[in-house]
Amino acid sequence: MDDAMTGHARSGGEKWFLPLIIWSFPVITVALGLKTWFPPLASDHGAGIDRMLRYLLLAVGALYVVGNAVLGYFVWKSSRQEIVTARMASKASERRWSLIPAAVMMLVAEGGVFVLGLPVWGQYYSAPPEETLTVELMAEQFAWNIRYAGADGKFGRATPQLITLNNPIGLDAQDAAGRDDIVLLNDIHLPVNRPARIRLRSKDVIHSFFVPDFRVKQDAVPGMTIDVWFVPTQTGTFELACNQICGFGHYTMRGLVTVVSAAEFENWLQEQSPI
Amino acid sequence: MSATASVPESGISIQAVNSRCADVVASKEQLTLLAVLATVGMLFAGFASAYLVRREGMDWAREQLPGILIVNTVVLLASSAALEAARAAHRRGRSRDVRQWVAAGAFLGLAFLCAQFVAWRQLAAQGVYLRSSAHSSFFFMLTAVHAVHLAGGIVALGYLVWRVSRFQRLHRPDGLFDGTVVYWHFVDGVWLFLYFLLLSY
Amino acid sequence: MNLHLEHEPRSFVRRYIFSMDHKIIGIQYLLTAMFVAVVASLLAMMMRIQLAWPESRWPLLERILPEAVSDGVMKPEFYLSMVTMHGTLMAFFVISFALVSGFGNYLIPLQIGARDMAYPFLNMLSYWIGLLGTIIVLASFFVEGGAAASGWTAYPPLSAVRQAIPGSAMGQTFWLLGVALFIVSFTMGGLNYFVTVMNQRAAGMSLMRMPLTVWTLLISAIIGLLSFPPLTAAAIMLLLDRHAGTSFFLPSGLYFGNRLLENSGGTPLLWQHLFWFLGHPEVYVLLLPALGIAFDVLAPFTRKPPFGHRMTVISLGVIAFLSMVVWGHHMFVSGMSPYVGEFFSIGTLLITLPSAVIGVNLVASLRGAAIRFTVPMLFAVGLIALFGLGGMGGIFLGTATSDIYLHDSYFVVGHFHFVIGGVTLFGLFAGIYYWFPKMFGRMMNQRLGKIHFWLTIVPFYLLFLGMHFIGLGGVPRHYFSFMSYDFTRRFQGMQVQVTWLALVLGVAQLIFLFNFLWSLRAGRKAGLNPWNAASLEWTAPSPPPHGNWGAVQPVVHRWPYEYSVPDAIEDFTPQTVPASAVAVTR
Repeated sequence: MDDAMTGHARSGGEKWFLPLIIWSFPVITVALGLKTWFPPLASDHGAGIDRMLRYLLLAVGALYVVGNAVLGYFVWKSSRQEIVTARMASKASERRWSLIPAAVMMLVAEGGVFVLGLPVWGQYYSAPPEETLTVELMAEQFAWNIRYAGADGKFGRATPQLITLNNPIGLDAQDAAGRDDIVLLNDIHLPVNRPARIRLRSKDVIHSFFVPDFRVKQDAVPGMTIDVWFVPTQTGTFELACNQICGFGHYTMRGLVTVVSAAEFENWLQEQSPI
Repeated sequence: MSATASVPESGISIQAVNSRCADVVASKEQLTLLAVLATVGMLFAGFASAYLVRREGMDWAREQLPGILIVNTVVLLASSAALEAARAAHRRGRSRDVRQWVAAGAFLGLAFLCAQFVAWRQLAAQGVYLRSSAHSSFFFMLTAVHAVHLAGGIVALGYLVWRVSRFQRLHRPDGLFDGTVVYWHFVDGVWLFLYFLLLSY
Repeated sequence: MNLHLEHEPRSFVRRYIFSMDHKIIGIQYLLTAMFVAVVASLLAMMMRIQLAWPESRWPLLERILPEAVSDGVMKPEFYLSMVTMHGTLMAFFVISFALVSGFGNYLIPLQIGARDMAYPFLNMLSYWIGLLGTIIVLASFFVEGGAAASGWTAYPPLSAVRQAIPGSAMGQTFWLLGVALFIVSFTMGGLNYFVTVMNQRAAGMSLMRMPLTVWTLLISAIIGLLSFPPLTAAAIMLLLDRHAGTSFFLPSGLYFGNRLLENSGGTPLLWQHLFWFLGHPEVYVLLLPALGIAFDVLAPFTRKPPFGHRMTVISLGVIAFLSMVVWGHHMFVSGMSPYVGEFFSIGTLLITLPSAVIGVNLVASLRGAAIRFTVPMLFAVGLIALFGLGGMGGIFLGTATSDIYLHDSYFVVGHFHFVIGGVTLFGLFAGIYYWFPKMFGRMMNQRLGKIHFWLTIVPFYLLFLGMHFIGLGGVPRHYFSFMSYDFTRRFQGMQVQVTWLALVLGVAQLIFLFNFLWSLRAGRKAGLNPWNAASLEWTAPSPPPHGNWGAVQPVVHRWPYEYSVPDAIEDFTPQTVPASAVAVTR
């Protein structure tokens, strides 16, 4: 045999190291996977998302462990023999070993989507209930403009033509409904356990409304008005981050979502002065 | 089996034996044509889907398109007819007629391009430019991209004319000729499709 | 139509510069890709250093690109340029250039028994146009505002409005032109591959007797030809939006620099659809040839045929088809209709089926084998391990529900680096170590190769695995720094570890570069078939002459995986050996 075949199985530590590395990968992965990575859950539908993630970590993780165990075993075994002992499988065997992985994936992946995923997806995108509080959000480079409807419960007319430095969302002073609107910067307050709808807009580029603790993520696209709704289930202060590359300040677009009791929320709302 | 000569280092001429697999079903030219039509087709499909999406917009308004476009369309169809005549002449082995009909097709194609340019000027005279409206943006862009592809076809037709003039005889079968004619009809068809799209509300 | 053998060129320029020989063109692509890889890797190292140590100072960078730095500190817009360019260069000008264009050009005629590609002149043109595109993209660092900075995905309005970020001034235009030239180059190449494989195979080389490398390159060419054009259309529209005042992607109400822009009516989502229509199949264009190479490297070093060859071919076709109808999984939270999102999610997960079949076939190819631990074999086995994790990660992202949380997080970065940076890279290394002797008539140094392998797989695996978990913590991608938020800052320790691993990984590649360059001159001379492999290219001299096969084109009698045929004297049987000499097993 040509001298270049220096990779003969007898020489070298590969027949030890390679299977070991292959086996250690899933061990490391599982060890990491057992730690807590998600931020604490603070929304209703978020439980469904966490359930989806945990299922995938488990199911897909198991497949990965099995796959690598088998791979490592074959490498181990085959590196210790001189001649081929299983040259070609029968047609039936090849077919079987195509059907089995396909069926497993169908079950695990598609099964996951249909059983766990779609119901949550459907709920996330369903129409919000009657008692939903609507908060408008106009994203810009590099801040979140927040608007509450005020006592009259109506949002006044706002148009890009009227935007100025002091009027970041272009509120029309002529519109009576807008007189009591409350406009804030990077600051959202919400009552706990009450559905909240964030009406997303953008003034310049695509941004993305992401509150990790709520498991809420939705792009804010210029030219579109996109609603996302959820139910905050924990009181506290949660960070809002931009999740779509939007310019040099993308990494600094920090907002705060403060969730308080219904009473505290009403008090807070009263205290805010309209523009 | 086919043989071609090659001259290696030693200078001795040997017959290089080239052989092809038996299960090859299409010629080089047919396969090339298929790939070209698929690629060009997908390009216009991409543009068309963009157009259809945009057409749903609230502010959509269609510009009045110059009447000369109907003439252009007829000219282009005539060019396709000329190439069909060329194809018939090719089947009968009449190289003179082939050359004349292919040249006619090329000239009509050129006439189409000039008339398209006239249509552009007419629109500009009315104050309709690339940026005037979504519809005008698509009009100028789509006609330009189409024109580029037609120009490529004209170059190919020109080459065919030159080749017939130079060698005074016809290959049979002539994959390049057949392929170019089909490509031409395809670009013709693309124009009809674009025109229909741009006219439709 | 006869294949016309070009008279062998005499001058140095004709032989090695403006060459129409597929082998030279393939090597040109490979060398260009290696050069760009050095640049793109440097960008990655710089990005990781900035992320791990946000207080870093960059005096050298300030000298070369004064606009990138302010008071010694890197500007965030430059960081985003680096991100954009790293991705663009790696995807198109490294992996596609090396795997699809480099190996495609070099191997296809040799593996199917042809003398050259169907259109050698077009082939030469494709390289030079591709090179021009490369130069234009690289030059964009030095134009006003610097290189494009809107990500390799170039979403408008960020990429369309010149004031949105400095890179959108002129850099984005250069990006568009360079990528457009790349697409032209790829299209020419794809045409050549398609016609050559379908029409120029030697006698006896039926489609099922082609190596899987050729199958995957053929499929990549086809899906590339079909999916690039809509991106071309989109690029034209973006150029017009940028320079001609049109509003394909720009709606009304855009407010920049205290001014309302005049655009109206366009929608940014249109770009996303058109981009990802290419973007998703593109990752399979890159991935599939790596899988094909893996099978073709496993065979000689397991001394047995790959498992499930027929099912692999079918699965590759299914993946190719499905890959063209699932692009929307990149847009789950884009504002696209949730019903459409459901459709894309279900469709995307169907890809797990043929992918799992291929994964099983790769693993099962190692069963009952007689392994030879050469360097290419190590990379092929490593590839399988990376494919497993990378593919599995895709399930999290293809499931719309989990993607709500994981979209554009570090989970995505970890995932795509495993598949596009890992599987493809390992396929590339396996291929280079394997075919180097054929290309240059010399062996690469095996010991250095093995060191390279271990110093690559361990850090690679750990660092990108780490990114998956950082992503599970919610950390978004494209961030210049993680210090602005509590929920990102808590992972800073891991980010530093990731950076160290990345630096080790980067430095380890120097071993490969040294080995490659040194072996060109001083590697041990290689014979015709140093690996005792059975596929057709190993019957040609190392390196093959102009025309590949000398006087007579080969006639093929069997498939390329004829190893360990029972009762045969040799444990491998080249494709040209007739049935009368050794039994044909397929």
